[in-house]
Amino acid sequence: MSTQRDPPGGAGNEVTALLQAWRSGDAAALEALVPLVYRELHLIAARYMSGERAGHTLQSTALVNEAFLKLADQRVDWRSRAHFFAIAATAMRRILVDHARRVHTDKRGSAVPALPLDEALAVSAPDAAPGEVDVFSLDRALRKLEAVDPQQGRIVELRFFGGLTVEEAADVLGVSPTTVKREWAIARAWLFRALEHGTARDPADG
Amino acid sequence: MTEARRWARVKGLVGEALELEPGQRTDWLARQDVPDDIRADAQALVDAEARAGDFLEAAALSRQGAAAALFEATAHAVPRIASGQVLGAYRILGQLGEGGMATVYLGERADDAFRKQVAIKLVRSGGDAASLAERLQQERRLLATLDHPNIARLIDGGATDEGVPYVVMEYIEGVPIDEFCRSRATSPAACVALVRTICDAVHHAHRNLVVHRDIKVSNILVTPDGTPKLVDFGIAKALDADRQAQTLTGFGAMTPESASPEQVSGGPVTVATDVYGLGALLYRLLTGHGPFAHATNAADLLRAVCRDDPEPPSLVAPGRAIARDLDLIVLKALRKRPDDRYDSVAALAADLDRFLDGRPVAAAPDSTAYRVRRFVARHRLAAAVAVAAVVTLTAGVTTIVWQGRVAQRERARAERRFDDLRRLANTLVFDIHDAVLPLPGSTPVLKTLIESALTYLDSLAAEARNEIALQRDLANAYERLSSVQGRIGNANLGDHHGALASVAKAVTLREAVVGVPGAGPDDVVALAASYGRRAQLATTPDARQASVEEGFRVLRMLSHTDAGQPPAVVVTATLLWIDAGAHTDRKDYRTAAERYRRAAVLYEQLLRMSGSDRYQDASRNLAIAHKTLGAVLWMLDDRTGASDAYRKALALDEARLATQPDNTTWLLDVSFSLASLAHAELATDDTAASLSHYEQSLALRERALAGDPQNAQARAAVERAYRTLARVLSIRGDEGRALAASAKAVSMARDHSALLPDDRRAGPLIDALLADADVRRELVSRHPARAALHQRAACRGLDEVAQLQDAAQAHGIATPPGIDAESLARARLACTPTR
Repeated sequence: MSTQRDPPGGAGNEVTALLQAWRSGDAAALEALVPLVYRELHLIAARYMSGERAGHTLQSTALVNEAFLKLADQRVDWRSRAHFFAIAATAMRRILVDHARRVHTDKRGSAVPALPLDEALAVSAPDAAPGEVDVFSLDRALRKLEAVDPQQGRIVELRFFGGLTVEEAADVLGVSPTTVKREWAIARAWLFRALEHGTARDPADG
Repeated sequence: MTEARRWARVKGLVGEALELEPGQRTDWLARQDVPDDIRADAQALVDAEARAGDFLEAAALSRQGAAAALFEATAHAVPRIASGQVLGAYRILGQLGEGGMATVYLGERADDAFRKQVAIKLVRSGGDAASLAERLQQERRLLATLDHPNIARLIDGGATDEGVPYVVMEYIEGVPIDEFCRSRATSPAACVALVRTICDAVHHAHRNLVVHRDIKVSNILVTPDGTPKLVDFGIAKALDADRQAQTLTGFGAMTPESASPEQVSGGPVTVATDVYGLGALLYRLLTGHGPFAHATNAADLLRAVCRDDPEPPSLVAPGRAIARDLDLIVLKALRKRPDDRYDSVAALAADLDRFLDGRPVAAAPDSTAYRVRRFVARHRLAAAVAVAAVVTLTAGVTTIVWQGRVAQRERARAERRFDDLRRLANTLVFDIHDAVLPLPGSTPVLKTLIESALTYLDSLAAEARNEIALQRDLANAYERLSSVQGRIGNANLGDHHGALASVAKAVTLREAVVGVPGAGPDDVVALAASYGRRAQLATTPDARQASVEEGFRVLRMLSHTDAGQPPAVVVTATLLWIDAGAHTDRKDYRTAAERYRRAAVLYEQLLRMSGSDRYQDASRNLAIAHKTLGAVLWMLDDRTGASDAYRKALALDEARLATQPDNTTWLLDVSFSLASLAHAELATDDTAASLSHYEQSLALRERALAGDPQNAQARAAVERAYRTLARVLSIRGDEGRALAASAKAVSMARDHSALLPDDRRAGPLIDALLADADVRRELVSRHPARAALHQRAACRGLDEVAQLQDAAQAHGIATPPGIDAESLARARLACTPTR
């Protein structure tokens, strides 16, 4: 006899039902899902901080996977799972951009301009993780890119914010890994250039 | 040039360039015949790529301090209650659990010598916090009215400094009821006794006009001494004291695991809802899972709750020796209609007592009458709508019958004409249809024929809407019309929407017929067949599968004998075949193959038992099953299996064509089998055999189209044949013939596009143009001397594809059918010179 134990209140079923609703076109379901995902991510982050997971590097996918296992009913099909990853990537982007915006505002308050990217790279030690991207500016550039090339935008969101591998992103988007790899390289180049210039132009203007 | 097209060109160049060695990229770009500004943009991006290093390659969170950032960034989503913090008179000791709506903490009185522990439930923030707070207040009000040893007691309530409300309840040191039963290996009778006790608690709530609405295992905790306690009145509702009923406010207020049919469908929630919840609880304790364990996701589960009859627990858990009387009690509590369940929780409790005492129970097995009543109830509304639609449709064509009504003395004559008309319509629909169908050039004739027959039948239906025979005639006629309008796999007029609408009318009429006394097994089979046709025409895999399931469900109403008769077997096989198709769409090829094999077994059985008159259908269906099985095996990399299946299909198709050499449908059948075989041969590099089979396939399609020039299916088949032929020829390096075949495919696609509605116009031409680019790409590698010519042609094609895309976007279609990234990328390769 094996029964699925849901968290009290049936969060598993709730998330599953919301995923279903979202898939069948109910945009409000996404709004209801995001706070649940936020909350779970928060709890997981807390566990990492408390050292429960010491020794592990915090990987976005591992984190999202953990959130998924915790939140969703395990009977959901793979497509819901892919959608969950897509939602989590969106949530992660919002979280980090909101955070970056607050930091940005704080900095502006003390009149310290954000470093241009190439300087930032030069400043960081060679072995420092090159994740030191100004997420706030990145988000702004990404919006421009999305306007002209939604698929590239989605790929950046999944890869960078969601931490998905090329193969996982291909799965979520229903395209081949080759396509993701190519589009990712181009999007990266475009975003790099946009941030380098400090202004985000429309891709179509070069 | 639009922004999107400009970006597409820049992107195409950059993508190409990045595939080269870094040192070659700039030179390569310089050689491209593109406007300078586009080249400059591409160059800038290629340069940026070189400088970008591993920019963005490490995901946003894979760095030190990320956990802290994430924790801080998400903090607002969680109430910050730490151990040791004091809420009112209580000190928090830790977290007990959390759900979608609230977090429950363990606490104790901060100032108390007893140190009595309590559970403190706090609304989580984020989301719709205001409505959650309101719900918690409601829970508090309801709990205040209840005082029962098996209900967790309300102790106190309040709000945090931030205004977040909380309630303080008796802390139950126990485990969920299913865990309790499992860990103590409780017998079925002991499970029943626990549920019997909970019945008292629920009944107490009902007497105080509170319905719990969410009875499930995690809401019933059992203390170490074996006392069950009902907790969490989070979605409980006050019953209206006058009406004893309250309408559910929304989907959010239930958990699928415990939802009753009326909660799912938005019906009034009454004490019967909790009777259902207790039945579901008992079901789970007895069997280890809910009544609808077959549902694999929440949507299926909700559908099952409303439609499917649960299996008796004794069948589901045969090892537990569950008594038949217990089955009866559980199933009665789980009836779909609240009125068919126990009148009250007290009545359920009384029956459980009888069971525990070994006396006969009051619950009786559900009768056939019960099942029929349920079916009718489900379809009454649909039938009413269908009849209304038919009436509207025919206002204005009922003159003859109407005259009969106004003039009493002409009534007899009108009735005679009524019968005559009906005979005429049936003759048109069946006898003439069957005679004309196999004839070349018959498609437009059939359409006129069926439409006029329908005009008559519709007018008759308006007059005699209660006559079951007439409803059947009308359903049959709609189905025939549907197949002429656009059923896949037959001669048709390419009117998919019309076909779907017609079959939907047939379905609703047949649903009405099955609900009427006097309906027989034939009506059930016909309804299942209509579901099958609707599934075939469905535009999404979900709709298809739903319709197939309806079909199987209806077939289960048949007795064993009736289910073994040829008509029922045919429909079963067809449904399996369609189901296989839906699984194929979902890329679940293994399940699809299994379904195809089962369908093939049934068709073979039919082929053996049917006389010569049924030979044709059985043979065709068996061949189709083999072909589709072959395609699925191919996806599973079983190439030998696939080729074998195609050969079996070809043999059946050829034998059938030999009996009627001009039959349009059968000509196409043979051509499709040949093309499948040719495709398999091409993939195994046997290009000579492949070419020969493709040529034979094309010749047969040309013959079919020549005989019936308006047949949309034949036209599309010829067009595809030219495309594939061009491809094989290009692979074999036969430049002249490859170009001729591809040109023919493009010109046919142009003609075809002109006939299509705006939203589908771009598709065929884009297909053909991309296929032509593919052919050009092959030819470039085989005939380098003429590479430039082919590249120019491919570029022109690509430009036209871009124009078609823009035009489609102007019509509000983001991605026209026919566009996929892979083919586009290949076409771009064809357009750009290789090293």
